[in-house]
Amino acid sequence: MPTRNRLGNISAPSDMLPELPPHLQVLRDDLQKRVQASRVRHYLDRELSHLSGNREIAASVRLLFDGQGRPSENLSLKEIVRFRQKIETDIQWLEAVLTELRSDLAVIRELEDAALDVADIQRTEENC
Amino acid sequence: MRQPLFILALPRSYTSLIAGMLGQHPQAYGLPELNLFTVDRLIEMWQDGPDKTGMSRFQRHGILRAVAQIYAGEQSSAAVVMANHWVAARQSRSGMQVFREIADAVSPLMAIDKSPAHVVSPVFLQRIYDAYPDAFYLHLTRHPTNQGHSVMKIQDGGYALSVNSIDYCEGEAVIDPQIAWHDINLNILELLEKVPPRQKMHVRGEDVMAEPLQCLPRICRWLGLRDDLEALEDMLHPELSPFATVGPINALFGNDPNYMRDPVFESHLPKHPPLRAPLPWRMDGACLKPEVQRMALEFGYSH
Repeated sequence: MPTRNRLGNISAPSDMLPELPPHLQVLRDDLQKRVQASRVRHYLDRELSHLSGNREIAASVRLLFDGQGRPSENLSLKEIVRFRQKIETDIQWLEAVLTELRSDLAVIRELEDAALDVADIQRTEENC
Repeated sequence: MRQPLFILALPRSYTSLIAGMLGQHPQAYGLPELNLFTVDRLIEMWQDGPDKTGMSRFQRHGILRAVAQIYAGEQSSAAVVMANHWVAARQSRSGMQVFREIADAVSPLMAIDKSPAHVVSPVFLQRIYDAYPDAFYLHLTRHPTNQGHSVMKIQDGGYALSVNSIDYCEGEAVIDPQIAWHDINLNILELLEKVPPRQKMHVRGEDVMAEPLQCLPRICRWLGLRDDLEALEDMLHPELSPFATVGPINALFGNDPNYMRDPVFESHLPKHPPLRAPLPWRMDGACLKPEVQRMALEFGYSH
């Protein structure tokens, strides 16, 4: 198969894209702004349709429902509530663990500082 | 142990449906999108850099749902919590090691992976081939106009933008998915040049949609799987896979959300627009580039 050239930079991670000439970079930035603006506009359209009383809340999470509008069997309301409670408990638990880790770190740093002070004094005494 | 099957294709190319169908074969196990070969170490999938998009969080759902199903036998939030512990215990392992563990766990069934993120980079594809030089590789394609049109209908072409599929022309930058179609298929073709003929196959998604009972047995025979009526009947029901619907609240996706809304297969004959026709997403009347047309002709699409 003959060697073919690529048409773009599909495989380059976004932080490693080759630098574009300034005029193309401006065009690229402008495109991204337009797409972002379009997304925001669609989002606002959806939100406004909710406010208009159409009760289309399901539309904003429609991806979670099948083609007939039924929720997935993996996603019961009971399960969602239980998981919310679990997340709240996990956050409390992790906050407690974080406080304890910070406290342990503070103690260890104190010990390290004290040990370094002792080492300094010993070194000074040996030099004398 | 059976060698796995890697389905290599762009998103919106019937990948979810066909992977789901093959995954329902009684001798196969269709995995959700694991994306494991996109990382050196598993922990990288949990490290959202400033550059990553919101989608990266969803890219972890596949591995969590797979582990939940394989080891806990269910799709529940508790099983996904267990899966989180499972991956945390393996965070320093390579994606390849973790994939191998999962493939071993579903053995003797054939593991079927389709992660569209893999085909974006030759580096990811090479990782797969280095790990699995004896695996099967199915190159799945869709007509460039239909694939591009489908991409552009979702989030204003967000996927194409995310892979820099941008055409700079006449003082304007335009999202144009045909660039991704060409370059990603080129990534796949370059990998397949290294793969022995016995281990690779090209399939047009449209042919499977139109004639499943002709295409699926051919794929089964190539893979060394049964091609009897019972197996074919199973494959016509991808909706029965545990990954074909939305998952538990803490791992919702792991597959194309549009597919999960309606995973039922219905045979149909997709239209093939002429390769020289103006593209529906180009307001300037532009057509497929000559390179794209040439590649599409090689895949059997016609003018």
